Amino acid sequence: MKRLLLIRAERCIRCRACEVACAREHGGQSRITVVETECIAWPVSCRHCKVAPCIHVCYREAIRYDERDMVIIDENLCTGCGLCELACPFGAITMVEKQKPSKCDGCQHLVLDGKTPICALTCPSGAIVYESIEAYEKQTRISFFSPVR
Amino acid sequence: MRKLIVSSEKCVGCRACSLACPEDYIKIEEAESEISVEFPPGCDMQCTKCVDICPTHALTLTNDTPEKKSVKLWFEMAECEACGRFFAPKMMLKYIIRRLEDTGLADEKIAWLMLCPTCRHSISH
Repeated sequence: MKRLLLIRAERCIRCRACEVACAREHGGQSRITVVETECIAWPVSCRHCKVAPCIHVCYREAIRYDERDMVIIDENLCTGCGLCELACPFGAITMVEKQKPSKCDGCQHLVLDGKTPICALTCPSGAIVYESIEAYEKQTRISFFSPVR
Repeated sequence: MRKLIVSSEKCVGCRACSLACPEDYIKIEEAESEISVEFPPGCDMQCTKCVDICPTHALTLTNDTPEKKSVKLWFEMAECEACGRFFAPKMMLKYIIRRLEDTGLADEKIAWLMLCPTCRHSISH
């Protein structure tokens, strides 16, 4: 079953451990950001859209779906034009030094080794989970009544 | 020396050519609400990186003698509706809308384009 990175905003405790872990895993640039309001916080990263604007605007076809249906960027084809950054509805793509786009790739290198993406692995409160939709649906009712981890 | 022809109608000010140029011949200048791209009249290098990389095919290199004056294009920047920051050339946003036309996203739900990428994080906008 295909597993996805799912966010449970009500569980986020604003510790920003995901940001630190992501930055460590991806050469110092975090691809996930914790957005805070007065009452709630939640981690924002690429949602790997089904109809992805970034894929449609990229004229070099540098952005594509990988075998897990995650949206990934091929840095060798990228020209650094910044169109994908502007097209993303969630602000999940940021241009870093030398105008290279940086976005969540679902920790491709870890998942191919059978591991969990680093943000889901790190999150102490279970706000980021790496599960299939089916498993997530089943767990939700019970998990509301059980302590977090 | 080859002549560099710029189509001012096609160029959107994305600065991909400036990044691609190995000699930094294409210069970008950023002002508060405007951005300018200065193209040299010609190029003595044997590369075509800028031409290959341009998303709108606005550049062409020919073997004619280049003119003396360089071409400078000015682009008006779009203002973020939430925070007021100038974040991208308006032409670039128009180009994105054109590219998104066949996805079905471009109809009424395209309002996010007028927000800067940072403000798009928030649900309050």
